[in-house]
Amino acid sequence: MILKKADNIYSEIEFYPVKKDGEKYYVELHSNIANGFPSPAEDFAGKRISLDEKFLSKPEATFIGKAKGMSNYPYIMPGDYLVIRSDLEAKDGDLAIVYLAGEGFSAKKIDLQKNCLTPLNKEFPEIPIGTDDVVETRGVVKTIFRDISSLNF
Amino acid sequence: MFALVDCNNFYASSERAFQPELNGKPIVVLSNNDGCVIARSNEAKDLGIKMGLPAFMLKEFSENKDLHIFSSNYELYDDMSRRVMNTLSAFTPEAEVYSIDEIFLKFTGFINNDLNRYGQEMRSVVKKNCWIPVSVGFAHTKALAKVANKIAKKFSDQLDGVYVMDSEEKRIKALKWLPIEEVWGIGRQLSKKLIGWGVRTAYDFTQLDDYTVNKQLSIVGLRLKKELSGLNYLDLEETERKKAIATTRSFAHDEYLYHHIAERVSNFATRCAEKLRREQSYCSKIEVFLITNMFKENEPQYSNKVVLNLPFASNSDITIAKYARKALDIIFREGYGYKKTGVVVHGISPQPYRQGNLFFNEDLRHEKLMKVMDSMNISRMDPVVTLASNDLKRREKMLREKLSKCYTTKWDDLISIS
Repeated sequence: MILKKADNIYSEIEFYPVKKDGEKYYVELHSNIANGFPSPAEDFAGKRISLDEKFLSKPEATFIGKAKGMSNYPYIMPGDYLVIRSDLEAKDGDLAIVYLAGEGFSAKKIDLQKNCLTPLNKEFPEIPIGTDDVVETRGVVKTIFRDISSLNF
Repeated sequence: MFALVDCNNFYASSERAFQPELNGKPIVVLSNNDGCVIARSNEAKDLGIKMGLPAFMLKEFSENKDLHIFSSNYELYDDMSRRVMNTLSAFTPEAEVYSIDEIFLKFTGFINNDLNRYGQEMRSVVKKNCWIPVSVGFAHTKALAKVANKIAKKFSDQLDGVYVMDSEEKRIKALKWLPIEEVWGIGRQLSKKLIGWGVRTAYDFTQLDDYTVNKQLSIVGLRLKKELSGLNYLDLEETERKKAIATTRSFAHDEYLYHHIAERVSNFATRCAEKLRREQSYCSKIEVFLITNMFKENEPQYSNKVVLNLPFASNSDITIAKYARKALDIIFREGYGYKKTGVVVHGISPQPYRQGNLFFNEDLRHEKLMKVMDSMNISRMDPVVTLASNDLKRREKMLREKLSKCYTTKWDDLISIS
């Protein structure tokens, strides 16, 4: 199996992206008490954790998908949100998004040793790929998030 | 050096990005209200489907030729456009987004030799990150970059979608190849006139003398001539203010009644006002037009338009809707079945031009009111507050029967992954 790669013919040049979005926007809380003792924590204000910053730092190359079916159970449950980074090259062992005719978009583990696309659920069959066949990946799953209300426990 | 990067069949490509089974199949995208064809894939062009073809005439193609028809999904296209533009902006700090699917990039201090490979890199990064194919044309001026892009697209197979026009020889060859009607900024009317003078190609155009061009085509035409001759007359424009803003729609059914049409006109007027406020502009002229259904040959036909000057420049819903109604009153005639109406605002400027006369200025309270309305109306398609004269969702339902999902902007529409 050969993974289709973007031609990195220009790898000697490093690109410094000019970021237009992905900035952080926070509502600043300012102490508004005119005659009170100022908060001792005020000097430390402004730092907050941002899910966007951590998981969606490259919005132009991030797609979100929704999982269906059990082919990647128990790692992925139906209804899970998959954060796909389309700018990353899929490597051996990555959970990559591929498009399979008749099946649509699918998350499969790349196995270059055995030359196959492997569902994470062992009950599902591996998809063997010919040594010279080109597999075009649409990105790599980097993060999974789950709405707990979709679980029945 | 400038580059013009243009998305190939952008609307069709956006649809294909999420339905790869449509690669190689003919696709068309319809205008608002599913009126007529506004975008085609190459395969649809090969079927002989022309731009502007009414939707009902597509039936034979969809039945016999496996044509796939989409309603326009601007929410999707807008998001995909932003992805492409942001990705390309990383290649140079100097960029000008020219339209939803085109961006000018400026490169200073690059060696020509590298540009072809650099263009290939842009293409492959955009394809990989955004799933959209693009073509790249490099040249010394913006007008020539447009020409280079046309060549890159036309001979995509041989050139791999990138063309660098880096010599005088290539420039002349390209201009001799390009018919005058396909030159950037030369419209249909103008090209007819030019052909009348024996100007058939872009090259012929550059051979006209400056005086004639300036006299007949104004300074804009002269600038274009200089640009095509390889002289830089146009630089990147930071924020290009539009010359006119239009909101027009075909009705799902022909409308006969004045008050039905008046409500729509009010809607379109407020939509124009919103667009003005979004780019912090004001307009000083309002045009309203009406057209009957040309395909109903047995019914009486009528179309008309009128332009009204405002007493002061405005971007207020109230003022623009009021004058749009006045304009409609002038042109409306009873007894016709109208198919389409529209409001176009002209005379756009960044400042609210104030008259000396105190009584002919905008009521200052409008500005505050509009701010409040805009902050409440987060979704423009589904406003929370609007003028009472507008069609309050009674009639204006957009016909979008073949709408694809908003894969990237709505939680309920995300790509499904097995």
